[in-house]
Amino acid sequence: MSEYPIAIIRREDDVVVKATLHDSVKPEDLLLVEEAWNPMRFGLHKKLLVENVDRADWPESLHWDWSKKAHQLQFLQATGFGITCEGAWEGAMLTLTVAHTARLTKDKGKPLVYIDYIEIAPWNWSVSPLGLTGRHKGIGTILFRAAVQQSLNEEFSGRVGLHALPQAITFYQDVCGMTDLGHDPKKENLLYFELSREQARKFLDVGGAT
Amino acid sequence: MRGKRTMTLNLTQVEMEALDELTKRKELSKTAVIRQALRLYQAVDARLESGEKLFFEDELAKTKVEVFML
Amino acid sequence: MTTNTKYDDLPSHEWLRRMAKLEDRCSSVSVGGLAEKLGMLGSQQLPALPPKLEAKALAKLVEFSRRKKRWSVEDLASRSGLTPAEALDAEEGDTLPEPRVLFALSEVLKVSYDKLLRLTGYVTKRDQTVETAAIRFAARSESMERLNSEEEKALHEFIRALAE
Repeated sequence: MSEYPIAIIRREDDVVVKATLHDSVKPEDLLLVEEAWNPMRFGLHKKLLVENVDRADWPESLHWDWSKKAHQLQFLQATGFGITCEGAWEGAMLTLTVAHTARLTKDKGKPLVYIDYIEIAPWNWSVSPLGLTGRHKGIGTILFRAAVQQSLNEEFSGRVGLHALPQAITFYQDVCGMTDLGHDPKKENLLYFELSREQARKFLDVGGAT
Repeated sequence: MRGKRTMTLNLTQVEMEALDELTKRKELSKTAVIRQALRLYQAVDARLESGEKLFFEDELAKTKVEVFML
Repeated sequence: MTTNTKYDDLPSHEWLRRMAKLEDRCSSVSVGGLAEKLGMLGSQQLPALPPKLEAKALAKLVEFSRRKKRWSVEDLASRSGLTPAEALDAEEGDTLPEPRVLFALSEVLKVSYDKLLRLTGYVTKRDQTVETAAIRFAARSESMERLNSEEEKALHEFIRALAE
C-alpha cells in the first residue's frame, strides 16, 4: 500500500486539514474500516428508529459491511482505496478494471475504472432528520478524484463508470459531471453513469458540472 | 509488492498482430493490454474454479452460449 | 492493484473547497455494487428496509435460544409444531411472525406469549420494560457468531424480561 498526502475539510471551522490517501489497501484494512464504522452505523440505525424518521431519509449505506468485500482484493482487477485523518478511516472505495467497459459512443468498448463500492465514514454523514452534520467534508470528491487518477494511470484516459444509488444521483451527475446513460436492467435498474475523457479532464481542472 | 519486473514475451507473428490490433482498438500500450488480459483471466478462472459457468449472451438473438476454458 | 502510483497531483485548496461545498448539498455518494450484493435493492430501486428493532430482537431471541439448546432449525420446528420455513422466517426477522407462530415460540422458549405480542406490536399496550429489554438485547447481540458468555448473559436477561 502507498500513501499520499491529501487534504479534506473539517466542517466545524471550515479548515483544510491534512489527510492521507491510501491506494492498494489490504483485506485486513477493510476489516479495520468495518470495525471502526459498524458501531456508529448501528447507533444511527437505533436513533432513526427511535426518532421515527421516514425510511426514505435513511442513509442508503446504513447496513453495508466492508468486511464482506475484503476477499475481492485478492484479484488483480480490484483496487482498494482509503482516506485516513489522524489515524481514523474517513472513507473507502473499491474499484475494478476489467468488469466493465465504456458505453459512451466515442470510446465504446474501451476499458474504464468502475467504482464498485464507495462510502464515507458514518461520522461524516449529514443526517438532517437527526440534526447530524458530519465531521469532515470533501471525502467523496477526493475518492472520486482518486478513481479518475487511477483511470489515467491505467491508460484509460480518465474514464470512470458506476451505478449510483438514488440518493447519490445528484453527486455524480452535478458534482462529478458524469453522463447519465439510463437505467440498467442488469443492475436492478439503477442509473448507470459514465465519465468521458473530456469530462475527466474538466473534473480534475475545474470541478463538476455545477 | 509495489516494484515492477521486466519480462520478455515470445509471441508468434499472428499473436503480435493480434496484440497490435488490440492496442489500437483499446488505445492501450502493449503492456496495458497484457495486464488487462491477465486480470481478466484471473477473474474468470477464479469463478470457473468455484463452479460458476461463463456465457456469451446475444440479447438481440436471445441466445446464450457457454464458454469453455481449459 | 494499480500500475503507476501517481496520486500526488493534488488539487488546490480552492478546488477542494468548491467541490466539498457542492458535495455537501448531496445526500450521499453511495453506489450500487455493495447494495446489490447484499440483496438490499428492491424493485423500486430503494435499498431493502432493515427490520425494526423489535423484529430483530425477536429473531435473535429465537436463534440464540435454539443455538443454546443445540437444536437445528428442524429441531425447533418439530418441537414447536411449526414448519421449518416458519421457524427459519422467525430467525431471519425480515417480517413479524403471525400470532400463531408467536404462541408456538412462546411455548417452546418458555416466555410470555402476551409479552411477545406486545413486543411485536400485535397488542398495542406499550410495555416499557419489554421494549427497553428488546433494545438492550438487540444492541448486545449484534454478532451472528457463536453464542459466547456475553450473548448468553444477554439472552438470559431478555428471557427474564419476557417470562411470566
